[in-house]
Amino acid sequence: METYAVVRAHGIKSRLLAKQDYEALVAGTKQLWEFPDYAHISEQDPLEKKLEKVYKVYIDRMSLLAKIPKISDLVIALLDWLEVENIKFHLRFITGYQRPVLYYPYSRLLGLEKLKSLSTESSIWEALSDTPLKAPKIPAFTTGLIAEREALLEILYYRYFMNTIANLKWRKDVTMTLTNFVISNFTVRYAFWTKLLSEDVMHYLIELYAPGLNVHSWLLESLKGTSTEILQKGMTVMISHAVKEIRMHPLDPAYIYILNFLLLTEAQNIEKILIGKELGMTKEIILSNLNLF
Amino acid sequence: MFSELRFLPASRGTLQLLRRRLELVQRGKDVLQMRRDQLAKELLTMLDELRKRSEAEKAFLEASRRIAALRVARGEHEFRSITSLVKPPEVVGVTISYQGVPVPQARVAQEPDISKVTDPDYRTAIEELWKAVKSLIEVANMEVAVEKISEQLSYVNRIVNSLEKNIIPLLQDALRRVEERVLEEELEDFVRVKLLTGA
Repeated sequence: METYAVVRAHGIKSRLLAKQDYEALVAGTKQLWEFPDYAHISEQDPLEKKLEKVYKVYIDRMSLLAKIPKISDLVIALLDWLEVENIKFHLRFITGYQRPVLYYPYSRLLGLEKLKSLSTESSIWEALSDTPLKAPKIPAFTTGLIAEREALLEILYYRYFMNTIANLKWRKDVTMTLTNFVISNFTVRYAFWTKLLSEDVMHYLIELYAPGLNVHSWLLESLKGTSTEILQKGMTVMISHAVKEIRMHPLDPAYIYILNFLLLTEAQNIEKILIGKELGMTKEIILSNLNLF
Repeated sequence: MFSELRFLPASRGTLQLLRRRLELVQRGKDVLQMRRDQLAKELLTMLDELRKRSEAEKAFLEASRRIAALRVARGEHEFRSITSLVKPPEVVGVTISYQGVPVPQARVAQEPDISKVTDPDYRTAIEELWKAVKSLIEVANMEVAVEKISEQLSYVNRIVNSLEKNIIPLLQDALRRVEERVLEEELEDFVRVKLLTGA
């Protein structure tokens, strides 16, 4: 069954946009709706609608794999990242000044409607306590910063993801590769959060809520610079890691993780192109912001 | 108003009236000339401030570019959600007086609150943008003030010119005419009295 899923994943990967496609999109010689998977996006759609449809393509592609038993838990856990992002957006919305925010068109843990109906921070934690994230009903924070709440959400997500991998009962080398990927991903997020919060706050949250979560110290060393630079460098490292691993795991479930990473990167790249063009940015600037593989 | 000057009766009373009116108009013209000079001086001072416009525009473009770059780098979803944490500034309209000229001005009643934004990249970009917007508000205020003062200056100038080129010469003409008539009448009276007394 895993092999069947991987074959499907190879089929999905073959539909990914290539470097030349991105260049054509940025140059305007080709439009997004000319690509079969994005044909339902209309030129008349407002930016918000276009972005929603782009992420819907990513979700639909992954949802195809979510129907396959044995790997569905992994795929669902990967997609749940979008909901964690939505929860972060909603936290900012309710603690901020209630200006319209964009949500990803995905929900499973809480549901988008329910999430939008929660108007206090405590109600969010309360609702999340009954989900696989197993959030504490009353989290112990050390600062009043919204960033600390967001960091805890991510820590809870990575804890949930590590538990999902542990429960998959796959070959040890596959589990190791997946764990390695998740730790690399978490290391990038850890480096990012320590730019916003102190390392003490991050250590405190990890020790309290996910003591088993580690970071790659070799990767952490290389992630220096501003918050945006850390995310960009992290993305570059993750892409090279994915490209290397894709050759080593062409027929096992680790490939699903890599595919998810590539699909999400494609959606993010298209998002950047759409915004860049909307803002009238130059071709060079847009291209320099894309994560190509 | 001044067409009546032609039909004024030639008398000593009219002469007094015209002299008083001329004196008043000349005093008014002097006062307006002084005001004109004052406004012109104020305008010159402001023109120096207006030169800051290009700098303010440049800073604004730079800050906008930085925000746009951040928006592309971090994605629209994150950008919108982070910026929803910023309490927008409050700008109110007030009318203030520049040399007695009422000028509408924009005043920052409340600075934006970015305390909830913890990401240093966003904070720096938002702070820079706000600084640039504030400079633009200052320049815009100055431009409106210059416009209103220029309008006032041109109005005062028109009145001074009208007094100088039109009203004062008319009054002076009328005064001269009435003066001549009064003198003639006085001379006639004098001759008539001499003849009657048989001198």
